[in-house]
Amino acid sequence: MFGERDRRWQPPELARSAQTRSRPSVRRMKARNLTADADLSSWSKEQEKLIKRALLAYKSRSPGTRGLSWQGIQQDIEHLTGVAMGGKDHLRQYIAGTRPATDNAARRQALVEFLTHPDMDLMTLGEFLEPGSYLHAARRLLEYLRTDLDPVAVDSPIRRISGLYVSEAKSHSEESRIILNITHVEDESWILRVLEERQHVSTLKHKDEFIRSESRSASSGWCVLTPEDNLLFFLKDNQYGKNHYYHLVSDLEIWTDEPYDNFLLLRYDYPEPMPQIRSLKNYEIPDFANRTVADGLIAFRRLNDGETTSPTQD
Amino acid sequence: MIDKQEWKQRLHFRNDGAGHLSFGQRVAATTSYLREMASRHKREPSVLQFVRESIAVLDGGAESTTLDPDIIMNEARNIDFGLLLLRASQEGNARDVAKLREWKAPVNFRDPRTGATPLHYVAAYRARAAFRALTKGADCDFLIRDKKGRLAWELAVNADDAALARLLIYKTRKQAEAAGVPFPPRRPPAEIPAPG
Repeated sequence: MFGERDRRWQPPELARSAQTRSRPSVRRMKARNLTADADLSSWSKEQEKLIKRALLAYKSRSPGTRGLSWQGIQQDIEHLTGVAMGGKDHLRQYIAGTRPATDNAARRQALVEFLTHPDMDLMTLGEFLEPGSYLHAARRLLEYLRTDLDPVAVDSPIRRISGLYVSEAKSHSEESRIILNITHVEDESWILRVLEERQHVSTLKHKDEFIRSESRSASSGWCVLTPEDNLLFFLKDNQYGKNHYYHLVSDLEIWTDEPYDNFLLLRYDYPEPMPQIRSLKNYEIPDFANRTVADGLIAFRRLNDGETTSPTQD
Repeated sequence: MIDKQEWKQRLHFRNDGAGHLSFGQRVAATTSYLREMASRHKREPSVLQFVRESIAVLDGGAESTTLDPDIIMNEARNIDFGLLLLRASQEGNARDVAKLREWKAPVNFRDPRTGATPLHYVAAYRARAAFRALTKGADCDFLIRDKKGRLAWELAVNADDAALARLLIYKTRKQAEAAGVPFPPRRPPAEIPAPG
């Protein structure tokens, strides 16, 4: 069903991914541990948002309903960094939006150092330098999932998952193809960056003629390898921000030396409506699952080197 | 999609002005239509609110000076068909877009969440066949911006569809000239810094 042109189709996001290493943002990430190289005193709008969010999180961290006072937080910053934050009400006014951020470079830098300090752990330098990547959400999720669990003593197998995966489905009138480009994130052992390209082609009859429809969409996001060897994907449509998720249903053993080439994911966005009877009996669940969840199960296979995203063969 | 015969009956009801039906029958038919519409768009809170309020008016539970079931039916149909057209455009389903166009679906209906029109969606998802079905003999407004201030041609550019972007720019320019306005910039003027 796909034409000649489609056979050569390469998602633009995938073509770009080869250049990722040379992107300035990635170069900045490489320098994440070199505080001296990073400019911590000039903030973009996103970085300011991140700082305010982190300060509010710190304020609500202490026991009690009201949390710490802003004056107390200023004292904490001074205690940790040795830099005074100015007037006693400055921080509160800054958060409330009635006062702009200080122009004093030393105070700006001290604020970032305070928030990224290991004892505080309110944000990482990587998050601060690349606020648009939203990887901090993945880090926080993992942090929570790892709470009260023993740390893993062996190297993470996450690099084995990186690669291009494709899923193709074909019926008599429809054909769809999904490509997942999973890439390793520098300095991250349990998080992967994910780009998804979807192409859907259908040929449907309307008034004695067949109409061929085609659409393509791209989403991007990340996935985490959980302590239970699960992969949880969070993806957002690049154009209109609609979310969808994947959850690993079945895979090959990730800790063995066997090639990690196939996995089965469950795609979902909106929940399925309950059947009319309202209360689902246990014996009805398999039938309900067949009608609903089965549609979301997608089998992916790894694309080998040199293999193009060709359509499925009959 | 809904059965064609069912739609025909509904259109007949509306186009006729339903003059042959009594007031009570028109209220009952409109209420029934609203309930079906709610079940079709149960993930759209604004629709559910509209349905709730309209049924309250029809039931006489709320004060209203415009208690005319035809007016409510007309509005409900616009919202219903508009949302179906948005969905078909998002999926790039040219057949459903063509059908809904035939049924006089509002071609410039805006998504309550994103402010996008069907044109924005076909441009964003590179759905050329749906684009053709949507613009064929229709008065699509190419100058509408979504909630992020984007025009349809910008979305085609973002989606790397150069041919569709060129066509959309041509049509946008033509419409802007006809309306006597300058070619719209990528963002609303308020967001573009003044020179100097």
